[in-house]
Amino acid sequence: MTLRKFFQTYVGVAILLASIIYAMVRVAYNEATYKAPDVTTIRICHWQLEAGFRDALQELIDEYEQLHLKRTGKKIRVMQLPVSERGYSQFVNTGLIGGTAPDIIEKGFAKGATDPAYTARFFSPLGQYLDEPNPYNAGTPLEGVPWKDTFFDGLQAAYDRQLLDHYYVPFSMFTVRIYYNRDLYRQILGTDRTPASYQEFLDVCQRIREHGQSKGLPIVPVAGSKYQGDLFRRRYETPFLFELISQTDDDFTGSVDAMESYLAYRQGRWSFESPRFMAAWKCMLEVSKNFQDGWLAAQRDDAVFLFVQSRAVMTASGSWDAPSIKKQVAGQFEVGVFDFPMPTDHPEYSKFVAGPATEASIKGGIPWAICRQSRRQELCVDFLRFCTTRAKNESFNQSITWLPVVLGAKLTPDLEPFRPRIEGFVGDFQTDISTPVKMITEGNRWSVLSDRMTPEQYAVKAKEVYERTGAEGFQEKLVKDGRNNRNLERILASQLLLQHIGAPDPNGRRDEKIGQLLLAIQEFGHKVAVRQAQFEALQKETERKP
Amino acid sequence: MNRRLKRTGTGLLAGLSLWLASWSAPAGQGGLDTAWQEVGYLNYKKSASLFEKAAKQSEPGSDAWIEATLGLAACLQHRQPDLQQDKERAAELYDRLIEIGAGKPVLPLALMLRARLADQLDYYGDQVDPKTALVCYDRIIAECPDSPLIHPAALFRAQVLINSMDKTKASGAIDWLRQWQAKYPANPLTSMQQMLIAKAYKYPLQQPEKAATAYVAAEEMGLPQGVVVDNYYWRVANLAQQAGDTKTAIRYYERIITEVKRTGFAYEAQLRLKALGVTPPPLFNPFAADNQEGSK
Repeated sequence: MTLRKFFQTYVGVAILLASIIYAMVRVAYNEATYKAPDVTTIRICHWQLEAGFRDALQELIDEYEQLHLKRTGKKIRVMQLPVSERGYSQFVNTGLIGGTAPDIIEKGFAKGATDPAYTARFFSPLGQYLDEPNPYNAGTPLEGVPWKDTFFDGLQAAYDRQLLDHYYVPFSMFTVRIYYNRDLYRQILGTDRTPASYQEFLDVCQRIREHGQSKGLPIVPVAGSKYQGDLFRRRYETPFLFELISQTDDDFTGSVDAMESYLAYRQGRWSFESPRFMAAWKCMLEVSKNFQDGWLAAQRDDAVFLFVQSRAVMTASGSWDAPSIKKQVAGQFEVGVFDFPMPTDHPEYSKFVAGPATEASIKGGIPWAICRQSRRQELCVDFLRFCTTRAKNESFNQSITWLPVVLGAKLTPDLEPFRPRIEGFVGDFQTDISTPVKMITEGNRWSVLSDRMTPEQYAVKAKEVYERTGAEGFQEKLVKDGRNNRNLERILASQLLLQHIGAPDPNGRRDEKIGQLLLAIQEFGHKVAVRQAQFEALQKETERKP
Repeated sequence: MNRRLKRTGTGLLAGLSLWLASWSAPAGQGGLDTAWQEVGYLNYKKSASLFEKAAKQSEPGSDAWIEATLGLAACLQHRQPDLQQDKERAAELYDRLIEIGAGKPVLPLALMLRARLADQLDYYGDQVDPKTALVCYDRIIAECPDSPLIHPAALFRAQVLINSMDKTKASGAIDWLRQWQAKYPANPLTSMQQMLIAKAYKYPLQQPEKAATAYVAAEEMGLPQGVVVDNYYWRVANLAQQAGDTKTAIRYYERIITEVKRTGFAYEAQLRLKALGVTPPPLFNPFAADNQEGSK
């Protein structure tokens, strides 16, 4: 047998054998390391494969392991299990159902980790721990403060309003800004000053385009894709609607959902063809004209690539991308960050736009939940407490350049532009009353942004489908809302039954929970009843008209 | 060889059957405990079969049967998908429990769950049955005066009337709730009942000034846990402003800024105050480094 023949015959077997041996060695190593008789192991899984995250978390883990050994004389190992976003759902769901899930799980993607019914089943409520002070804060200004109150929002956003408890502890928070190539910006514009107004932003874009054309360079003002397009859309469309939100928010929640806006539409209080909407779409078109040609077909990474290659001066993304972008451009150019300039002093738009959306009610991200099956509940809580002291949360987030969530944890100077802005308006104006409306308006919105449809044409299309399918969509939503209320009823029944049989109430919060459920059912039931009555009245009125 | 194989196979099959039998057999109180545990996890689907087995194994009318039947009825009412036959069977089981439950602890809960079943849309084509719901709530109040469920029953009773969006019924419900509050001033749901009065004043009665006053009164009674305070203040301020009660509106806009440290409404509250001719308090920035020291 020739060597070639031998190789052709046995290469597959060799690879298989090598893989088996590697896997066995790996398993044996892990067993020896983490399942040694004198070592307690907890496993923590996440999908954060961004640059620096695993190292930052590992630093916390190493410190915690050492501290624990010093304090208790017992060895522990905290084992990171990073899983890609694509496989995360399967990994978590199968683990939860099969009883092999890690002890601490980053909550998200997987149905088992997000659906309230599964959350109640698979994760431990953390309310009782969060009401107690974090012992690792002893000797700091946060000593004696309930753990939840040591977070920037008192963990209000982490409170599950269906399950009426806290099910996760966050590590970071995020905002969205415009990134720019500082060197290129300075070279083209001769200044470091970023645009303070919308008009200045457009002027900057114009000068960048002219520079590219005059020098024959393929430079565009903004690197875009649908991802960036949507970020710009959210920042520029909604501010045009804040006044309308205020006028049509009949239940005073601060937002106008699709049913509320539909009722207001039928009452003649707004229209797609109004100057407000025309101006909003015109503004968005002005912005998207500064993206590269063919941006609609580009992926998020293509836009980042364009920016990294210095072929675009600006791009938009969240603070979560800051470390990755900075790492990619290291040694090439300096990255700057600024907020989206609002058209508040624009001759045409300023009558509609009074300011940006507020970031005061921003939520904490990187949500860690503790698996109910874990036999190391207390240890998991202790680890999370250790990680969320001011000092540790600060060091973790500084090393990955993300925004910390613990009160007093300092930002690195280059994160200052990402600091949440409290001045601004609250709310959203939703119009997706039916599936056809959602599909047609969303689909055609890209046509407007890519200048293949005028705002006027878009308004006519939106109006046609909205009026044709709105009533049916409204009724469907009404039924759907009523069904969603069933989830509250399910939880209420569970609590009443457990109270009736005298089941243990370890947190002593059952009465409180029942009260909160009764309140939620009251709010929900009244809202549905009001909307149904208003809709029926409008229908009757329409029928009466000749 | 064949005989040996056969014997091994038979042995394996026997073992498997034993294991399956032990796995599927109801385990008496143990089975019920597991069923209740699953109810705690909202896993009504799994617990339904456990309750069904337990009910079949117990003497009809016995305490064990009542417990298992109550559990089964609740599971049928709440397991998903929501099917008509499940809900109809749940109603039958509740009715049976109500029939034999006079003087027994199960009665108020069976009535309550039966009322909620009638008061809900469960499946496609289902109709709300407020009449049955009202009868059940009234029976809880009349027949189980010592049950803690009388206050939720009173709340739900008024809700049925107010949510009918009939102005006369809503006014009647407000009067009835006021009488209830007078009779049970320390009842744990008094502020929630007051909030319902406020809602009724807003819709269907469309009296924003009375709605704002009722919300203020509810707050004085002590807001229930779970109320999102900034949303609540925003609602009161807007209602008061709508009703022309500038004083209350100003007070609540100011409270949003000064009392709620982390709210998206603060900036707009400032603007509203300026529009009302008042100098607003400064905004608190929870993200500013010098505001992050925390307090007990």
